[in-house]
Amino acid sequence: MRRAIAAHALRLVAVLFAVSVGTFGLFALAPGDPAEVILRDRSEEPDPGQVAALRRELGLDDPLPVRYARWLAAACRGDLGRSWRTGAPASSEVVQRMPATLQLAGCSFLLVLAMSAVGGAVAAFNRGRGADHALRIASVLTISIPSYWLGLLLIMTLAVQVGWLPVMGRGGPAHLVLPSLTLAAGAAALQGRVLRATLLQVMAADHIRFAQAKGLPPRTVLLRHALPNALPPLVTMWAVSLGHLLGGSVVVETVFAWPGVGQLTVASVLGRDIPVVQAILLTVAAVFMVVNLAADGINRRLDPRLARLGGGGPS
Amino acid sequence: MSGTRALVRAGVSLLLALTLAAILAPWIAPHDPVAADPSLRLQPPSPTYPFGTDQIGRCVLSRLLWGARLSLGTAALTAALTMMVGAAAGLLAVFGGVVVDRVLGIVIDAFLTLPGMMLTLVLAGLAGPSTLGVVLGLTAASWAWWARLVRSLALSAREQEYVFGARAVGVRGPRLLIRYILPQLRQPLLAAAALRAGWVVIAISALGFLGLAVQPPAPEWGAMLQESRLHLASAPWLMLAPGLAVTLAVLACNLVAEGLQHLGERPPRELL
Repeated sequence: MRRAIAAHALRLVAVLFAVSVGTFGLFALAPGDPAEVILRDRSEEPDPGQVAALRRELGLDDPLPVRYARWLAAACRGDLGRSWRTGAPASSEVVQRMPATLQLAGCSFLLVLAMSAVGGAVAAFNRGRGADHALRIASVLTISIPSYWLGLLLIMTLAVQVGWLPVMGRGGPAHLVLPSLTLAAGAAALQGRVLRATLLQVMAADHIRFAQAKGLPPRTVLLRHALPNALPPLVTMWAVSLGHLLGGSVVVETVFAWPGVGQLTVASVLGRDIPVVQAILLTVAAVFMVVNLAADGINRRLDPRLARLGGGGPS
Repeated sequence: MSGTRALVRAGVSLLLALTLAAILAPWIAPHDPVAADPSLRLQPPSPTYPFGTDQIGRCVLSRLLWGARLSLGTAALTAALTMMVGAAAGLLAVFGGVVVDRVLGIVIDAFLTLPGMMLTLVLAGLAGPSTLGVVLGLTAASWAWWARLVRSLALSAREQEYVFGARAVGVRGPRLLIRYILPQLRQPLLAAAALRAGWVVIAISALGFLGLAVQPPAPEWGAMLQESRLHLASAPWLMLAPGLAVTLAVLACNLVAEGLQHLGERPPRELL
């Protein structure tokens, strides 16, 4: 058990190391000389002397491993350098935008849970009948609609023509409805199908048939006997879907002018603001990892077998 | 199951129709896709301009048809490249020894710690904005997904008894791979390929929508959607046409994937 946890932790550290090397490597995609980019933002035309001085100041002339070590040490203290566009600390730019994105992703996540639970359960208990087929078709259609088009369709119908909801921006609860619905739709369709498959798989197990044969009411069979077994794989999938929601928010935030990390990502990529891009990637990777670790932890609680075997959950 | 076959057939025909439209675009497009005529701006659909005209008077239908070449061509190229890189990495992990497997496993995990869409946006955006940048960025962002899938499928394929049998009688190397392992992977990989192709179409037009794919006059579906945003109320056809095109292309891929999954009777979870 302890060895398994140690191996798991070691692997996690290795993955983090790889992520940090990859993120540092993004400097290679920077256009031209970073020192020149910074100076150009401050003044009109930098002279070679200034550029050389700034290069020395930033340590850009040192060998790569030295630069990486220095960058990593600073990153561990939360210092990811300054934005090349605004001059503000890159990490604080991300931290400022985080609440808006977490609000949107969290709201979408609740929608995903609710919609997928209802849809998946209805489909599973009507297997092979009309409702199941209808939901199957609806889910394939929903997955096929790109979120930015769905967002535009919702804006055009519910916001522009009917005028029930605000078109874009962040404000009261009404502003949340369209973006979170847009973000949730695809994930909900996907999760609903996973839920259906998981339920059917669990319901086919021997102990369920035994419970049914005993004459237990269907509700008891579902809640006491089926659900506990269906939950662990679902928890893992929910963790994955939370990551997808964070990724999808990049596009949805742009559609709805939602002032979150997604918009910052697009602006920073377009402006080649490498330090901010790095800060975003590291933050999102950290959030994603924490969510996955939490899912593993929850699964260990839900399924004692996982804890005894020391496995890291289904991978 | 006849319904399942019908799904595959519908998906394949839709895909064929779109491909045909893309190939024949130069001959069937009624107008020049980039020729602007300011006197005809924002015209609603009419016999001469079946899908109307855009904000600077270009034919929307012609732009859609030429856009099919750009969007679908880039998607096909990217999907093929990603699959080859990912499959090579996955097979290398399984057959390259323990050390290679460990190291590759860590690299794959590192790539998968980020949501695919975000990684795609960053890599393709920083490498581009150009078609080449989109192809390379998307490949770099999504090869790891394929590598993990191929690795896990090949691992379980290797454990089959008849593969043990073949190894016992001395079958080794490429012959073992090609004759005994790969045929088992064909069905799930085809279904996954269809599913991922749909994802690639969405990702590419998302990049276009965000202004990270092609430069303005080029007719790309995502970029067309972005341009339509200013005219949502006055010219809704500008937004409906390209969105419908993307959706149809993705739907075609998903229908094929849906059918193939059920033919192979694999639980959909494996394909996520």
